[in-house]
Amino acid sequence: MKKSFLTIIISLSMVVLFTLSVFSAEFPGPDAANIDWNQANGQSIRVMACSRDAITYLKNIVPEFEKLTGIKVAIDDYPEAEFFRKIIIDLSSGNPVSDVFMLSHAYSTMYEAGGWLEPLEPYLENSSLTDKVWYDFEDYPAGSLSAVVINGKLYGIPIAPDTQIVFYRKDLFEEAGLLNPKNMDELYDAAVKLNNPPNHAGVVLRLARGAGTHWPWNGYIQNYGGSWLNTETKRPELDTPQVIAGTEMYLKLLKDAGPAGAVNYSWYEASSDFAQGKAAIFAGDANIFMSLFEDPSRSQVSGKVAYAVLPPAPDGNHAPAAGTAWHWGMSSASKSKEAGWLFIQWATSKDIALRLGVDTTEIMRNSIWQSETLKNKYPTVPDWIEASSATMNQFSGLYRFPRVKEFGPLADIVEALLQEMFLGQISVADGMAKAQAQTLEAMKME
Amino acid sequence: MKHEGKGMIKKISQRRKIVYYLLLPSIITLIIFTLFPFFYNLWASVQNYDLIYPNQRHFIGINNFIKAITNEEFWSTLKTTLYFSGLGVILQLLIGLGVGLLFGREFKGKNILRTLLILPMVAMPVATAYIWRIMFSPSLGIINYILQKIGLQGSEWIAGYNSVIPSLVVVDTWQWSPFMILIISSGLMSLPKEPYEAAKIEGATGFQTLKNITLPLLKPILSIAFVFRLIDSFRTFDIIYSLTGGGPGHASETLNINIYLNAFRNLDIGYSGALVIIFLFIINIITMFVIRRTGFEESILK
Repeated sequence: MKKSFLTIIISLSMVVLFTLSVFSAEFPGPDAANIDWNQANGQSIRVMACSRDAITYLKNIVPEFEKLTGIKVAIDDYPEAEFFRKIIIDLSSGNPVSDVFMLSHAYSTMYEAGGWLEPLEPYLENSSLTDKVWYDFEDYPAGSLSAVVINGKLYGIPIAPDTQIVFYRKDLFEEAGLLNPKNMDELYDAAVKLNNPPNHAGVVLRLARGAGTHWPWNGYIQNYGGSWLNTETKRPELDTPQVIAGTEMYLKLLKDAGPAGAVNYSWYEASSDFAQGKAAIFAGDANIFMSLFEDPSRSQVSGKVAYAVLPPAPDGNHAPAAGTAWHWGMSSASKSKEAGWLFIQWATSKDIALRLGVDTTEIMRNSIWQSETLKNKYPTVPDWIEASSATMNQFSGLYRFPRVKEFGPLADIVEALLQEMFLGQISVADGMAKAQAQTLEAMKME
Repeated sequence: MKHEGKGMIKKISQRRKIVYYLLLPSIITLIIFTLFPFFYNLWASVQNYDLIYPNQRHFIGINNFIKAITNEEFWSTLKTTLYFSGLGVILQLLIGLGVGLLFGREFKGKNILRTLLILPMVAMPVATAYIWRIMFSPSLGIINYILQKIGLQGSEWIAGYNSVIPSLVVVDTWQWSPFMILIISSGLMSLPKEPYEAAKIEGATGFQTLKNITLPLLKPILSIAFVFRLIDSFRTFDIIYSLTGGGPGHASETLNINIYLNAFRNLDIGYSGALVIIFLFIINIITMFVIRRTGFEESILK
């Protein structure tokens, strides 16, 4: 009797210890940083952000920062399209209200050209502002900074990922005796085979205009060895055979296995369809949709989804589809830059990043991808962790996103033409030739 | 006498002062929100003013206007605008007239029905646009579902190249027909009774009464409703932008959407400024034409 009581005590305490070790912070919190958090006490900063889970989470915990530093923080967030409009108007006004704002990898070059961005290296290197050992900046996948290192200067700290992975319905694949596709042709065959309207479509992808369709499409042309702009000369290369092949695959998937009305699908329609079991493959979109698909209250496919890196083109692996990121940037006209930097440092520090990452799946740092806390929180989707972190670490100079200041018009040219090609108004070859001509014109090139 | 006169003048000038003071707030508001933006836009339209190249701003005269009228895109968006507005407004005018005449009679539940009819007009356009977007969805939408249930083939609605403008007209008509109905039915109520009594005595048929009395008397009202609605329809932004964003391709890109995209996506403030001036010019010409042709002016002056 006594012995069994002892066993219970021991096993109970072991459970408690185990739980503690799982949920206790893996990384030291802000208190461990060797800087004076109070140095900007009494200042206030405005933060403009694009609405997403990471921002919702930060808004909830920002009182911790205010208590720690005495800095008042006001975070305004807007849906993506509205955010882009607001931030550009704010920054270009010359007297912006935002001190800190979210910086998209796609627009960093444009903002830098306007002189609106503050270089962050001086803050990172200043030992009274940053505890470099505690902050561990080297933890970020090197390529994740490629969009914000411009002319050798650092302009942003990664906050949230845009990492393109593929989502498969495990159960449907098994039923049909299919294996996870190894290349794009296999993906296409599987999509066509699994296309079963009106029960479910073979594949969903974005195709709406103004909904960031250029982003998944860019992964496709890249897989076929194509490039939107030449990485060296910045000259558009939209009429090359590689880009045409990638575009053809993108449109062919939707034509032969896509849902009705695919032309108006934004990420919202695509992810909702997939979550409702209305699609067999979600062929390339943000990895963070995992939290939607695995949430049984919002999804009918939880536990039935396989996650994988976007498969390469059949003729081999070109520059693979890769992750991109959102960053924190600082306005060069801000009057509270120290306070702004303290906020950025706090919000991206390991401890906060872990809490945020585990809660929202918005993860940038390598240490968080490898953390035990994350693995314990999501034990059923190791393939998601693997696919996401693999894709993120494919960030490299090879990532061919047009980092030029004309990006907004360029994206619209491609998206409008993708729809016209999809609806058969123009052939893919002619469409891409037209895209090339329009892009040259928009960039004021001959 | 002389003294009194002076006092009077003083009083009047004092009263005038008060009037000016009272006008001041509205004049200031007008300057800030109407005149300044207008002249700023006029100024921008003659500049090479591109936020992507903020340091290259300079005066370029009427080059932006030349760029617009030599641009194929401008003419195709203008055509789309005319198609959308023409189809929409005529449809709304017919519905307005029909339902307006119906409301001219007495019947049970008229007031409730009228209140219900106004609802689409007061609903938020963006919110309703999203609901329409879901209803239009070819795979998930209720419209195709019902059509298929009654044995008809569904349409692609806003996902089709040729069906997108008619679909947008459906939404526009749903939202703005009540406006026409309201104006026309209140116009009908204000018509004199005598001609109708005379017509009854003469033994005119219902159609004759409509054609020879109601429509001529209603003409000024109809032209007001038409002009108001036409201008409004030209400027339609919320419905189109939320439903299609100008797509598929450029199929629903009206001039107004095109101006928005040029200003806020392409960041070409100068060019979009010039487009706004041209847009204004076109609206003015069309409005003047409609007013002249319908004799709206004379009927007011009479």
